[in-house]
Amino acid sequence: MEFPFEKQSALFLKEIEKYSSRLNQITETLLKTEDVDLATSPKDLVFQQDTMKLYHFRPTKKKTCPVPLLITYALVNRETMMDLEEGRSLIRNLLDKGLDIYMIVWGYPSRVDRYVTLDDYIDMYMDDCVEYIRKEKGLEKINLMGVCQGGTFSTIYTALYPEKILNFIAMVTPIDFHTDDGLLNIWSRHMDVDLMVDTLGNIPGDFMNLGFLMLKPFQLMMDKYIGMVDGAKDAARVKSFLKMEKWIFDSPDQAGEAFRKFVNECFKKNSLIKGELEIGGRKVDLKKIDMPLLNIYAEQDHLVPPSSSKPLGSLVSTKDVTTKSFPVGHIGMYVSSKSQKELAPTIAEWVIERSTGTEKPKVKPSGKSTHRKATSTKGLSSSEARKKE
Amino acid sequence: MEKQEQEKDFFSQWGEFQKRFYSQWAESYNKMYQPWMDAMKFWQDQKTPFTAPAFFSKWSEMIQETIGKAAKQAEGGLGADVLSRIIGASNVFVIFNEFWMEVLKDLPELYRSKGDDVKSREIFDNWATRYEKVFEQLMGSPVSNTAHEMMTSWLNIVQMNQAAMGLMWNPWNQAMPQWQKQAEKFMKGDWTAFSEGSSLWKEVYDETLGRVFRMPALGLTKEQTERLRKTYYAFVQYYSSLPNLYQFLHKTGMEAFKKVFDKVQNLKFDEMTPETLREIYKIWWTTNEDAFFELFKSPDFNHAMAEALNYGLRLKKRLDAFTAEWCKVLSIPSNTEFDEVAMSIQELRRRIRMQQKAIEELQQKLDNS
Repeated sequence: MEFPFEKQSALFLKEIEKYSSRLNQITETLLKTEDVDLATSPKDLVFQQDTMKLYHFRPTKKKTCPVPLLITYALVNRETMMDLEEGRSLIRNLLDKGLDIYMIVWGYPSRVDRYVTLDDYIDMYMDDCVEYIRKEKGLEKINLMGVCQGGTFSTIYTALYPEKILNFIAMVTPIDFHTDDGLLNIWSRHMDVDLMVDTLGNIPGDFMNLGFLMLKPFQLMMDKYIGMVDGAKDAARVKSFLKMEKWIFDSPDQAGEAFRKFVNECFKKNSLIKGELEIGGRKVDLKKIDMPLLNIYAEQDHLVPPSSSKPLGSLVSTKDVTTKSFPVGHIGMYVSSKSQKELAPTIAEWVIERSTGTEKPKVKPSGKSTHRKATSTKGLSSSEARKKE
Repeated sequence: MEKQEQEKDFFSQWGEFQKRFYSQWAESYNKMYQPWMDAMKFWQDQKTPFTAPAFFSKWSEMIQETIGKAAKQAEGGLGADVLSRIIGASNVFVIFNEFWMEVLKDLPELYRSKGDDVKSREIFDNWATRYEKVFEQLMGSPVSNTAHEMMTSWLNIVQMNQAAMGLMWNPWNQAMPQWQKQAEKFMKGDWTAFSEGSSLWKEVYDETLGRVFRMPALGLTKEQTERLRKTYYAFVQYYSSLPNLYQFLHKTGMEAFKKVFDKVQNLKFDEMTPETLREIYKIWWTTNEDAFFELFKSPDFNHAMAEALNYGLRLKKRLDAFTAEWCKVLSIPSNTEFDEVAMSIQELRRRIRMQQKAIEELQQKLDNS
């Protein structure tokens, strides 16, 4: 004889049992995991200036592109997203295509870096990295790829120093900041960034994190974790999740003055697109970008909406503009399975085609260098490498 | 069907519950203060607050009418004069009694005119006039001019004090009826009323106590006092900006809740299963996500959020300045001092880089030549 609701109760109890079992599995995995490592592709520190470091990735395949590619990531969050783990690493995929990759790591600004300006980041740190690579490789021009805010920096740099850049790749790069498709664009217009910087000095990474979480509060603060429990059986999936978590909440502080200028000039005044932005006393004219441009954007990007990235193609003077979109989100661009298969080949093919046969030796690589001696980080994980440095 | 109608009427039931709850609360609130209100009424209605003084006056009158008249006829013993004066001595107490009864009768009116210097001066003047009358009745001559001037000066001082207190308390008294209305609306679930009440509070505060905290300090501790006052002012500003922000969040949450309810109602399922629960959960979080996304785009919300954020930053700035002042005593460098060093460091970095570049160029020229 069945009592009323007996069948339903049994169903719900089974579900609770299943959920509890998953929670146990997750707990076991978490207890066994001390730390997860990101950015494990072997690389060498070749140049350093203050908190900024320039890394050279060790090639995994025979070189297919004679011109190296310098990747500039954003100041917000870490560049480790591009080399999250084996199987989800844009860097590894590009290395597997035979590209010669350098990457700028901006580091963790402290109070000492409070007065590092946007001009310093672009005119000083970025330029010094480009100069280093040019001298080391004996090349007149190099390839440059900018990602997110790093893409904006790279766009500005390329407009100021077009003679040093052979090909330019902009990936999920905000150019038009006055589009209302992104909440960040709307919020920043109401922010009193001067008061913020005057009060806080450097903008805390936690503050930035909070802002990003508030873009999709229910998904990012709740549903994501429920989804994690659903995938508890797969230890690899749990570890992947932990790596993403580590990356998301690994937010450096933002150097105050650089943040002030970036928000005031780009977000509030939209100076870049208007041609009114000045860096190092010079106006940034996007028409000076006369080299091939590959503009990649994510169709479902809630951080940098397509309407913010797409205009770059029409603002430059070069005729060789390739615009490519992927049906993914901002983070999905680096870690989704679709982008793993298509993004790296797209970039590699494009850049190799435009780099082969164009290398012109500039000067003999200088014997003496005023740069800091490189420290080998072969075979070390990112955290071990940091300790060594 | 009936069950569905009952469930659909959930919000009406919730509204009714809130109304009932508020009425009961208001009733018990009134009951708490009823004895005081009754006492005030008693004072207003009665000519005297106590029956005994009235009784004493009547008794004195009766004695005067009977024994007093008889005493005037006395021929022997103390004599008619002395006896009359002895019996008439109770008049002194009657005069004092009546004077104080009049004074006490005016107290409720004086309480109501708290802060109204003109009205309260009227009452004090009446008291002064009665006092002078009593004095004349007892002493046989009016109050001297000096004494009159003293009384007038004292009353002027009291009036000035009342006027000053009025500046502080009158705005609060005037705002009270509005707060009562807003409290009633808030109890019915209207969070806009909470925000309006908070804005009104801030307005009244800025007009009264806020001015005290903003005015310049004097003396040896001028700087510290001003710093402390400004910090407190910043705290009040920040705290009073929050309800305006919360009301948006609450309103959106309630609207999303209603939408979720409507969507769930439209789900057709025979029985509740875990899959159904998952579907309900998905409806819940996606509906809320969409609702809050729209809210976060709205200019009103952004304005409220920016306001709260800015007030919070100003408060932090004040707290930091306060802390820095204390750090001086302990020989700990403050953020401001460290920032000066940081600025110099960055300047030096730029100079070093420029010089390094110059050296490299010279080196290049040397190598090439």
